[in-house]
Amino acid sequence: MAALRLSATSHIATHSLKTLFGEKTVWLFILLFTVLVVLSAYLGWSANTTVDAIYTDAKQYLLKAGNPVPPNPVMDSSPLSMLRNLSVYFGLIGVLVAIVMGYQLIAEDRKSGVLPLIATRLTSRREYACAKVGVFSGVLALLTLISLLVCGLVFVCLPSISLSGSQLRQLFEFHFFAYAYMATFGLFAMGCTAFAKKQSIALLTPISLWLIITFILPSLMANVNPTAAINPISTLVPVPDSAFFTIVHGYLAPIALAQNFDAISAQLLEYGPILSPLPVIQWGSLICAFTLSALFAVEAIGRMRMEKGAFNE
Amino acid sequence: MTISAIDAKSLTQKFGNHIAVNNLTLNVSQGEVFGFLGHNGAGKTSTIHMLTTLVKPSSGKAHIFGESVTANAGEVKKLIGYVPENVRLYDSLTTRENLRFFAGLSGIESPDDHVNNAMAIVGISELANKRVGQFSKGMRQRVGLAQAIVHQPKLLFLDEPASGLDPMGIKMLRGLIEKLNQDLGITIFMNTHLISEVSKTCSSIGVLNKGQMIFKGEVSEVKALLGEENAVEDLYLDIQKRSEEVM
Amino acid sequence: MNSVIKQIVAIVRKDLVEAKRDRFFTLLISFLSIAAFISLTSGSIALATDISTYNAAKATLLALGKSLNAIAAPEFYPLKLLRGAVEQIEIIGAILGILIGFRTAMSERGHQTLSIVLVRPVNNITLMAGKTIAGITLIALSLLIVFSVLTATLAYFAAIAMTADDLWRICIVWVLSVTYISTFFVVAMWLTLSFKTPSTALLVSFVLWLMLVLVAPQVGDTLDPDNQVAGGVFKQLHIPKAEQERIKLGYASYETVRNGIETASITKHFERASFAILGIKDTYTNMSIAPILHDKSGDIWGVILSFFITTLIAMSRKLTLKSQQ
Repeated sequence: MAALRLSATSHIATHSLKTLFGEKTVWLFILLFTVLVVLSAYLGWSANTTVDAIYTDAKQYLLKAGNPVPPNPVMDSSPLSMLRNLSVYFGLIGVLVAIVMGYQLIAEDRKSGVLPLIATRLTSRREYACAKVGVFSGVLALLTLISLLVCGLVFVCLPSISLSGSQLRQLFEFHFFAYAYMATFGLFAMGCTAFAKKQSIALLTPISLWLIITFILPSLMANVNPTAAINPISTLVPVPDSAFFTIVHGYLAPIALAQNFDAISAQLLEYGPILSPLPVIQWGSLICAFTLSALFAVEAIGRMRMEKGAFNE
Repeated sequence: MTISAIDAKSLTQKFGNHIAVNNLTLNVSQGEVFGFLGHNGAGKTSTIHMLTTLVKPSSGKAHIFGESVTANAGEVKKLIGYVPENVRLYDSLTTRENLRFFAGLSGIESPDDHVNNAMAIVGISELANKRVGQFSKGMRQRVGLAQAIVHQPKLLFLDEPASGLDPMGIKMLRGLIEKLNQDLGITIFMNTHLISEVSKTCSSIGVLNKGQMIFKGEVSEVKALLGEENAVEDLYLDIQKRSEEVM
Repeated sequence: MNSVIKQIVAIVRKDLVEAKRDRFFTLLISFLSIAAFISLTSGSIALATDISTYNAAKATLLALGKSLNAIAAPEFYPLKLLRGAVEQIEIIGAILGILIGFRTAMSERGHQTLSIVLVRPVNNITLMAGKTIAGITLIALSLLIVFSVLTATLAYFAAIAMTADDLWRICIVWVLSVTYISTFFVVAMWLTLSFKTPSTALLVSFVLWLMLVLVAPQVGDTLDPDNQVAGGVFKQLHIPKAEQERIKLGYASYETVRNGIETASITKHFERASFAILGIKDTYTNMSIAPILHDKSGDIWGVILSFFITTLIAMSRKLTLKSQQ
C-alpha cells in the first residue's frame, strides 16, 4: 500500500513537472531570473569600479585643495558586497517566479477540470498535496542553485577577488534565506489558487500580499519610499526617531518580511551593518512565514473541492 | 421574384487540413423555419458562423436577402439576429441593461421601445430589472432570444436553442419560434439535434454529414412520403446510416 | 458618424456599469488609495520628527549662546511630501492599469459574448475605441479619488491652505498619471485579447511591468554611483557641487548608458516630470510651472507618445470569434 501511495504521489509529481515546464510563461520567468542574477553581479562590480574611479579623481582634487582625504568607500568593501543587488532581484523576479509556479501547479488541474478524475483515484488528498509541494520546492531549489552557480562563476571569472571559507558559508546562508523568502510567497500562491473561486483572484491575492510587504510596509514602518525599497543600500536607512515609527515598527517587525530579508542579506553579503549573531526577529520571521505558508498550502489543497474544481471564470 | 432569405453556393470552410464545411449549397426562402440537422462535428455551427459573417468562408458565396456576407457584411448584420449555443450575457447587468446595450450596438436610436417590445414578445418583462447572472438556463435562453430580436431582424439564426432545456423550456421555445415566424414574419434557421422538435416546428430541413449537405426537403413532403409517425426521425437516421455506408 | 458615437457611448456605458458593480474594482482603487495615503502620512510624520529634532537642537544651541549656522533647518514644501505617494502611483498604479485592461478584455472573453457583439453592425475600431475610452475613464476617476484623498490629507498635515498654484500642479500630475497608467491599461487589454490563454497574457503583462517599472529604473538607479554609498559618494567625500560636475564629465559615456537604460522606461519619464512639477526635485522647488513644463517637455512627451503608440497598436487588434476562445 505504501508503494502504491508513493507511486500515486510520484506519478502526480512527474505529470506536474511536465506540465509546468510545458508552460512557456514559466520558461520566460526562469530565463528572466537567470539573466537578472547575472546582471546583478555585473551591476555590483560596475558600481564598485565606478565609485573607485570617482574616488581616485576626487582624491586628486582634495590633495590639491589641501583637504583631508576620507577613506575609499569601496576599498575595504567585501567581495560579497558585489552581489548586493541579488537581494533585490530575489525579492522581485524570484518571488514572482515562485508565485507563478505555485499558481500554475494547481491552476492547470483546475482549469482543465480534471480534479474529479484525479480525486476518484487517490486514496488520500495528502498524496496530491505532497506531490505539488514537492515539485514546487524542488524546482525552486533548482532556481536557487542556478543563482549559486552564477555567483560561483563570477568569482571564478574574477580571480583577483576570492572568498574566504566563512564568506562562502555566508553565501550559502544567503541563498537559504532567499529560498525561504521566495517559497513563502510561492506556497501562499499555491494555497490561494486552491481556495479561490476565480482564476484572477487566485493570482492577484499573492501579488497583492507581495506588493504590501515590498512597498507599503517599508513606507509605513520606516518612511522608505517605494523606489528606495528596491535599492539594496537605500533600503537600509534607520527607522526615524519618532514615537509613531517606533511603535509601528515594534508591532509590524515580525511580518516585515521584505525588510527582514534585506537586513539579513546586508549582513550575509557584507554590505550593511553587521550584527552577530543575526537578530532572531529577522531570521525567525522568515522561517515562521515559510512554515505557515507551507501549512496553508497543504491545508488549502486538502480542502479543495475536487468534485467541482474548475474556476468560475 | 422574391429574394431568398439565404442563398449559399458552394460554401466551404477549412481549418488547416480539416474541411468543416464542404461545398455547401443551400437556399432558404423568406418566411421559412429551416431545421439544420447533423451529427456532432458535422459543420452546422461553422455554417452558421459563415452565414452570420463571424467567419469568412474559405471559398464560395452566400447572400442574406441579397446582401453578400463577405462584401456587404455590415448590411447583413442589420438583417440578422443570432443566438449562439449556451448563450452568454453580461452577468452583472440587468436584462434591460443587456438589451439596451445590444440595441445600441445595432444602431437603434431610442432603444427603450424596442427593448420593451422584445421583452414582451419573449415573455420576460417581469425580469427587466433583475441581473442576468441570477437566471436559470431557460431564462437566459429567453434573454438570449430577446437580444437577437431587439433590432427587429428579418432572419434569425439559432444554434442548438434547446440545448440544456427541460421539457417545459423546450415547449416554451417551440411556442416562441412559432410566434416569431408566424406573427412577426421572421425567417428562422435553426441548428438542432432534437428531431421531434424539428418535425413540429420546421417547414423544411437540411441534413449535414461531415461538412456535406446530403438531404434537403420540405417536412410536409417527408411526412407525406413516409407517414406521420416519426417520419423525420426515421428519415434522418436512415440518411445518416446510408451516408456512413457510402463513406 | 452619429451612429458610431452612439455605439461608442453604448459600449462605454456598459463597461462603466460593469465596473461599478465589480467589487474587485473597488478593492483596487482602495488598495492604491491606502498605499498612497500611507506614503504621504509616513512622510509627513518623518518631516514632523525632523522639525521637532531641529527645534530641540535649536533650543539647545540658543541656550548655550551658540550660532545656528551649524545645523540646517529642515525644508518645508508641502508638495514634496507627495514623493512617496507619486512613487506608489507609478508602481501600484501601473498594476491598476494592467488589471483594468485585463478585466476589460475578459469582460468579452470570459462572458463569451463576443459572438453576439460581432454580429452587430459595429466595426472593430468602434469596439476598441469604446473599450479604450471606458478604461481611461475608469482610470481617470480612480486617480481622481486617489488625488483627492492625497490633497485633503496634505492640506491637513501641512496645516496651511493649498494655493491655486499647488492645486494646478496636482491637477497636471493627475493628467500625467492618467496618461501613464492608461498606457499599461492599453497594453494589458491588447495582450489579453491576443493571447490564447488570458492568464498567460496577465503574466506577460506583469513581466513587462516588472521590467519597465521596477528593473529598468532600478538598474539605472544602481548604476548611479551616488546611490551606492550610504549618504551619497560625493557627500561622503565632501566634494563641492562644481567639482562634482567636473568629475561627472569624465564619466559622460557611462552616464549616457545609465541614463539610456532609465529613459527606456516610461516610468522614469513619468517620475521625472511629476517630481519636477511638484517641486520634489530640489532643482525645481519654488520654480514656476511654465519653465518646468518647458524643461521637462521631453519626459512629458515620452509619456504621451508611449500612450499614443500603444493605443494605435491596440486599436489595430481585430476582434474575431477566435478572441473569445
